[in-house]
Amino acid sequence: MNSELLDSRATPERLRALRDAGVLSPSATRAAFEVALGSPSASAWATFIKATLLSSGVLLVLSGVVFFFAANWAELGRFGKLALLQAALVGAVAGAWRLWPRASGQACLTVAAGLVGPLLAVYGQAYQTGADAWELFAGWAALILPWVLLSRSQPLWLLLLALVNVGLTLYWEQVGEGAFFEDGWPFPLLALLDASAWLVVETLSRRGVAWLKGRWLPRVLMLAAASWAAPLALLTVAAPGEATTASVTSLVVAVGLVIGPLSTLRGKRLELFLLAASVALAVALVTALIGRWVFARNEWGLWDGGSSPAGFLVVAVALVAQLTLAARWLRAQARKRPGEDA
Amino acid sequence: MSTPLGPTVREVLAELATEGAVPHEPTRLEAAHLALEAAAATDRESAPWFVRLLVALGSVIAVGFLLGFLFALELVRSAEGALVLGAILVGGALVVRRLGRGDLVGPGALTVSVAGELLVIGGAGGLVDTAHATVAAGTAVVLETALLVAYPDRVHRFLSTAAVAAGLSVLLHEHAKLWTLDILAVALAAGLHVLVHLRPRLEAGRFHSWVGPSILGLAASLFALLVVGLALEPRAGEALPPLGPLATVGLAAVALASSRAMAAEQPVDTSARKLWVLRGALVLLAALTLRAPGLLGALGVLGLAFHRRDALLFGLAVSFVLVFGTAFYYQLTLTLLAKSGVLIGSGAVLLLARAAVARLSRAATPAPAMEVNP
Repeated sequence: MNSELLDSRATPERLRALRDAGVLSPSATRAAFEVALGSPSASAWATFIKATLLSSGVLLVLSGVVFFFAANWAELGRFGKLALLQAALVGAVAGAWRLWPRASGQACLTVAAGLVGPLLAVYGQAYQTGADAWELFAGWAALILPWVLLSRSQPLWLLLLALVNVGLTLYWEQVGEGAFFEDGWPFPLLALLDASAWLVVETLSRRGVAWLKGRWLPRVLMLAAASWAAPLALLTVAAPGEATTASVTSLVVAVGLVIGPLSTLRGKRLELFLLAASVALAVALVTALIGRWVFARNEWGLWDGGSSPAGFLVVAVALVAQLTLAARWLRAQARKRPGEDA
Repeated sequence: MSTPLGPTVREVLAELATEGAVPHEPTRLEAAHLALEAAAATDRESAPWFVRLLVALGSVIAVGFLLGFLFALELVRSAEGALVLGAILVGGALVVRRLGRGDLVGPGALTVSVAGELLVIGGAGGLVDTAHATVAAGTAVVLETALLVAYPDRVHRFLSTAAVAAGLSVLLHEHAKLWTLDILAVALAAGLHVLVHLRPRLEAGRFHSWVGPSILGLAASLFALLVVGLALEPRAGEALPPLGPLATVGLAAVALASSRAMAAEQPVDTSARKLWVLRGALVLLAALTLRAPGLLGALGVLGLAFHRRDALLFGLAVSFVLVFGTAFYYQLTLTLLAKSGVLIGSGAVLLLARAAVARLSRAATPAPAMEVNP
């Protein structure tokens, strides 16, 4: 007997299925719902409240520091500003050292990593180094890299990647040849960067690396890669005459983000959320292709500057059909691993 | 082993056997397994929330193309035409959804129905020379309330709940004092809290298909109303600002009552001191954020989501805590330096509160028994 079904979460649908099959009487069903949907234990509540207070407290303190240094620069001399930031940084690092590997220690290191950016900004302003904004983010990423490597902390890795994304975007805007949107190259390059990061995290996670347990980081990375790849990819499909090398590269990355998860994240390696994201991207690309086909074909008397009523209906029907097939397929995948609800 | 989102089927059955709700039978587990296998093979409705979201979003986009088709064919040439065509589409979709079979029925009927509803609501608003918004909103309230009862689809019930709340908001905005929106926000929150607390009983009853979508619809409507409140300006002659102190006081009262119900569900008596610390923090937060009810509303929903281990509601609440938190501090009429002080101060207060809760938890944990050497 495959015990995965019995060891999956007791959702309302499953409990009603047991009632309908006669496994549970109506009164036992009511009791079952009380157990399944009952409030967590007092200790679980305490853990939740502590985690919420810690994360929101850290966020507020960090934001306050940023606001502090956004206000009234002239009231503090440059040494005062630098000294305050450095003192906060040293304090956060000391806290991380003392409290590691507890959650509070990891929070302290996150605060410390977050303070590096404002410190660089104050330094740049105090000494008028003339650095571009992208250099701030690049320097910030480089300086926190040792902490990121040593800490094995998923939030810090995400912070590092976010800094690299912002730094590259600003570099292209401020230094790169041609304007940001004219070239379009940042889109596929950032998509490739985030997709590569996702691949690495996914591979290490599947190999059982302890600190990469949990699915939120791979999901965020994959969604980030898809977000960068999708706009130009859809444009390439819908209007191939407007395609550039950058937009075709985006399309290639987007197709990779569809094929990759669909071929690898099934069966025993099921990751339903990422499969759904890939399917959504696939539906978008196919719909754009259908739209281009029905709106461009003059033989149908369709769009050549005039109205195209049939085209609208075809796209609507095609979209609904694709969604139906996608939902059916995803449900079938979910049935194979009933514990993988989300 | 329990999942992070709650006990497993096996654990629930074991708990029921311990409580005596079901007799101890070795074959019960096997029967349960067979029942779940059969249900999984035929169930078309249940799917993870992101699959339902994918289908819902795609259906909404398809609605746009369907309406484009109807307008391009010039089938909709007047308000009366829109009303009639919309009614036909809604009625047809309802019949197909109730009687039809097949995977295509759900998304297809949803698309046609939503397109029809938009035509009915827009057409009704277009029938009058003035007060278009009032007529459209009133039509939306009546139509969507009826469909909430009649249309057997989870996504549609979510949309209907949200549409009714939106319609009521528009009616109040057009014809009543703006502070009545505060009352609506509190009513939405109260309805949400009641539904969540009664969820175990409702899920076991006849109206189980309404519960989940209504909860999400109420939460989304509450947050949407509070977000809109950020942009609303007070009207001349009205003493109370819209979605301000009145809403905050009401939401705090709802949260306090809700916390009492949560504490009552604990199997052991929860320390009275811990509860009063938390209630005191709630009242203090309400006082500090009197003009910004969004933060308190979002935190209340966050607690509800954890109470019933609802991951989707939890994610929604976390997102809106960030939105309203940012909006609150942005709106403070203080200098940047003073704002930084408020942020650091409130962050420090939360960190101290965290330390206090940790200390209370450690004090409540009994010390391990000492071994006595013979």
